[in-house]
Amino acid sequence: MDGNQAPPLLETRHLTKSFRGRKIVDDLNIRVMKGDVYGFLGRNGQGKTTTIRMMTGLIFPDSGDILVKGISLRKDFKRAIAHIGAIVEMPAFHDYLTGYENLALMANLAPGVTKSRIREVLDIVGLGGRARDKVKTYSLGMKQRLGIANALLHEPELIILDEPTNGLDPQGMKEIKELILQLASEKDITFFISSHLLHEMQQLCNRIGIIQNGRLLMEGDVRELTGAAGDISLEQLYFELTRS
Amino acid sequence: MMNLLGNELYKLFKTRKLYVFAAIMIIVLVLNLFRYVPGDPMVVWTFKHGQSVPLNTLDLLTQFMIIFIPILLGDSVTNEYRRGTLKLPLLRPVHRSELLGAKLAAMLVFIVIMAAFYVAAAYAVGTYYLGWGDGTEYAGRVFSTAEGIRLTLAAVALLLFPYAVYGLFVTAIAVLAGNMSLTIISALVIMTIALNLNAVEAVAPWSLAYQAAYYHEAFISDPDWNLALQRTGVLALYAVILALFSFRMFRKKEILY
Repeated sequence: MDGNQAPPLLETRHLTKSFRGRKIVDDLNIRVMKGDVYGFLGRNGQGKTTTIRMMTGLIFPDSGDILVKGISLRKDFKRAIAHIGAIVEMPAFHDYLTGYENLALMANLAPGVTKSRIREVLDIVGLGGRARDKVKTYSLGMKQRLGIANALLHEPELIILDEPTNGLDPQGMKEIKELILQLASEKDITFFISSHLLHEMQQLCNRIGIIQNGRLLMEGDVRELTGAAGDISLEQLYFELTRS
Repeated sequence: MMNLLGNELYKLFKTRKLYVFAAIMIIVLVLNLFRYVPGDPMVVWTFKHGQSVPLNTLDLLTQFMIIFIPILLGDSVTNEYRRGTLKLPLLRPVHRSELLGAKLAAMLVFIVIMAAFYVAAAYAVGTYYLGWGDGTEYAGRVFSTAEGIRLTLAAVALLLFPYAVYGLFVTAIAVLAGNMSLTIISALVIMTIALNLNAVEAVAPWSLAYQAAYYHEAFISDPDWNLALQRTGVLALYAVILALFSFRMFRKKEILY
C-alpha cells in the first residue's frame, strides 16, 4: 500500500470460522474503501451472515482479524465498532416500545446523540409520522427502515446491511435501494451490503466481492467487471465464476 | 454502565411483568389470610395480628422470588438473545461484561422493589383481615411495634443477599440456555429439588434454597454469629463462582439470532 493512502475503511485479514468442524468462512480477505457501496454476494449458506456477524463482534473468528479504519475489532472493540452502524439479519426491536423509544435506548449508548438526532434519522427513513407507534404495529419494511435509522443514529462512516431487502415487497425493495443511494451520495456513508439478489446489487453497488463456500472468489469494481456499457450482467459473471 | 442500567430499568417498567407480579403477591396474600384463624392447628402460622404478617410470612416472599427471578432473567437474557434484541446494544461501543452487569444491576433493583412491595402489601392485607395489634409476634416472642418493624425490615434486607445469589444462579443458566422456557424450567426444577432437600442436615447449609428461606434467622431475634458467618461465607462463595462463570460465558457467547 502507498504510504499516503488511507487504510481501507473495513478490512478482513485471513478471516476463518468453523462450526462443528465445518469451515463456514475460509481465509477471507476483503477490503472496503471509503465511499464504496460494496456488494457482498453469494448464495444462501455461503458464509455471508457469518462474516457480517464477525465484522460486528457478535461471533468470534477462529483466526484472522477485522480492521475498521485500521483499528482491530478484536483488540479495541469499542473504538472500532464506534465507526459502524449495522443491521444483522432481520432488524429486531423491542416490540412493546415505540420506534422512538427503541432509538432513544440506543441513543443512550452512543455519546453525543441528541433527541433532535433521533427525530432527524426517523425523518430520513420516512418514519417521522409513525415514531410514536409501537414497533409491533410496524410492517417488515418499516422495521427495516427503523433498523437503518438505528444504524444511522451515531453518524457512522460505515453501515453494514445483511440482506436488507429480504422479505420486502417490490415497493419496499425500491424504497430501501433509494434510501441507500441517497445516504451514500448525500451523507457520504460507505455501505457494505450482503445479498443474493444480483440484479439489485448491480444497480446499487460500485464494488463487489463474491463468496462461495466461505472463500472469496473475486473482488472488484462493478463497471470494470461488467464493462462500462454493461456488456455483461453481474448475473452472467456470477454464474460463470461459480460454475468454474 | 449507568446508561445501560437506565435502559434495562426503562424496559423493566415498560413491560407488564412488574405490575402482574405485584398483583399476584396481593392475591396470594389475600387467599392466605381471608380465612386465616389464629390458632388453627391445620396452619403452621401462629400470629394473631396484622403487624406480624410480613415477618412471619417471609417464606411466601422467598417462593415468589424463586418464581419471579427466572421469569425476569429468562426474558432479559435468554429471550432477548432469541428474539435478536440482545445484539442491539452489542452493536454499540459496549463491552459484554458491561451489558451483563447492567442486567444484573436491574435484577437487584427488581428484587428490592418486589421485596419492599411485599412488606407493604403484607402489612396492608394483614391489618385489613387481622387488625394492626399491639406488638409483633416472632419466634414465640412478642416485640414492640417499633422493634417489630425494625426486625421485619432487617430480615427482608438480609434476604436480599440470598435472592441476589439466586439471581446469579439463574443468570448462569440464562446465559447457557437457548430459550426462555428452558431457563425458567431448569431454575425452578433445581430449586424445587433443593427445597425438598432442606430437611437433609448435611445438605442444607450448602443449599441455595435453604439459604433463601432461612439466611436471616441467624441474624435477627437471637443472633448466632458463627452461623451467620458460615451462611454468609457459603453465599459469598456461590456469588463469586456464579458471577465469574456467567461473565465468562457471556463474553464468549456467540450471538446467532
